[in-house]
Amino acid sequence: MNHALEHPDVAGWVLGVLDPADAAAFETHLGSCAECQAAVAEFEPVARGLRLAAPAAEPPADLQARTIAAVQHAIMAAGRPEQAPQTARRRWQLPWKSRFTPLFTAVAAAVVTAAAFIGVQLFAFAAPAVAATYVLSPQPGQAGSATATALEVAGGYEIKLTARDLPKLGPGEFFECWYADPASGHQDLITGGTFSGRDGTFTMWTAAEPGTFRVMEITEEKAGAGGQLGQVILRGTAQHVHDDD
Amino acid sequence: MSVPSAPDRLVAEEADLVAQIAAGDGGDPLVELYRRYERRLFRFGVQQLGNNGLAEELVQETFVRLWRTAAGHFDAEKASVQTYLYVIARSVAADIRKRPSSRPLLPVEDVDMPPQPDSVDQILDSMIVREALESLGAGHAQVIQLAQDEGLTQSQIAERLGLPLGTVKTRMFHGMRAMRAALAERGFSAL
Repeated sequence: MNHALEHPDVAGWVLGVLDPADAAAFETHLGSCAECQAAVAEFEPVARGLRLAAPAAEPPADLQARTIAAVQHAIMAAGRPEQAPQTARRRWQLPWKSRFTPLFTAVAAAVVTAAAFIGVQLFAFAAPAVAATYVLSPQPGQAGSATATALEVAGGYEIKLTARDLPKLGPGEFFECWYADPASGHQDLITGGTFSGRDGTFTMWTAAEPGTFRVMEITEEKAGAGGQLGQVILRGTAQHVHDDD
Repeated sequence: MSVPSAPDRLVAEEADLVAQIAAGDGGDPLVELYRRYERRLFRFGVQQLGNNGLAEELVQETFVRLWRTAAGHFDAEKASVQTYLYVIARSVAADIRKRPSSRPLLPVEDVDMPPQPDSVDQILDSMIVREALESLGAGHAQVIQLAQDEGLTQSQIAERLGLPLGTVKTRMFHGMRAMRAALAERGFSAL
């Protein structure tokens, strides 16, 4: 049998956690045992290393999304012109009363897309201003995360959403992005577009003003269903909202 | 032509990720680099600042400064991305500590803080030790952590875990031997 195993107290002695009687007995033995002295020499650097160990802390689950959003915000802010053309901004004051019907949503999306396209042509040389950033966290029982940046463009907002590890979709299912006005008790809800990728960056257009429609949600929906019927997977609130009032 | 070793490939790959971030790509390269360093930077933050909230701030600010400085300051010929990130993180920690709102309420001597690494090598060693500890089998890691982190004697550990004292002694012995091997595998400099 390995001599050191007959004296496993060498590990506890080096770590300083032997009970006093065991420590005294081991020290008596150690003085005359070359093998245990060698084991002490083997373990001492390990014990010194353990005292240096970084804390066993774990970062919170949403730190990644918040960090990525902070960097993306810095990137966007750096690209922002010092004197952004005020005339490029338009407030959308449509009478949002309740959930949009799919038809109205489609028309609105087309209008926004067309307006944004024209805006892009007119202000092609102006970097878009950051209107808000979002960090979306998984809701209870859900997985994934996302960050989004709303850029002011003529005619509305361009949303760049970067999603990570969203749940696997079933046949006929897709993800849908929503904007909600928390002041309305979640009644004023606007769809912002659909996508089917679980990971990646997706660009969408919306007329929903981040200052009002501060909550962004991602749901899992099925084709043919109207309104927000699916489970909310991710939710986040607009941060760094740029108010041009 | 020689084939680059795995560590060399990793260093080159991370330098390429930083080059993409420096070019303004805040997407996949940033996420990849973040995933590689999140836990280590967070732990470094807790170690340096003694507070999870401030450690979160350190992680965020480190990556924002990485992006801001990568184009003008990062030189893959002079330092690895790992070293560059820890240099930034150390600077961020110093800035956070200078803020009046970050000062501990207790005098420094009353705050139970682990020894503070004062060089990038020591920072890396402290991360290696934690990762090596986490690579051990649960039985081995548990007795070592109770001894190291909580200062329990072997009898107290036996009582806490409901194990015979002899089992705790044997697990601690084998755990220390496994720990030495795990540290050696990771290139721990002080063995």
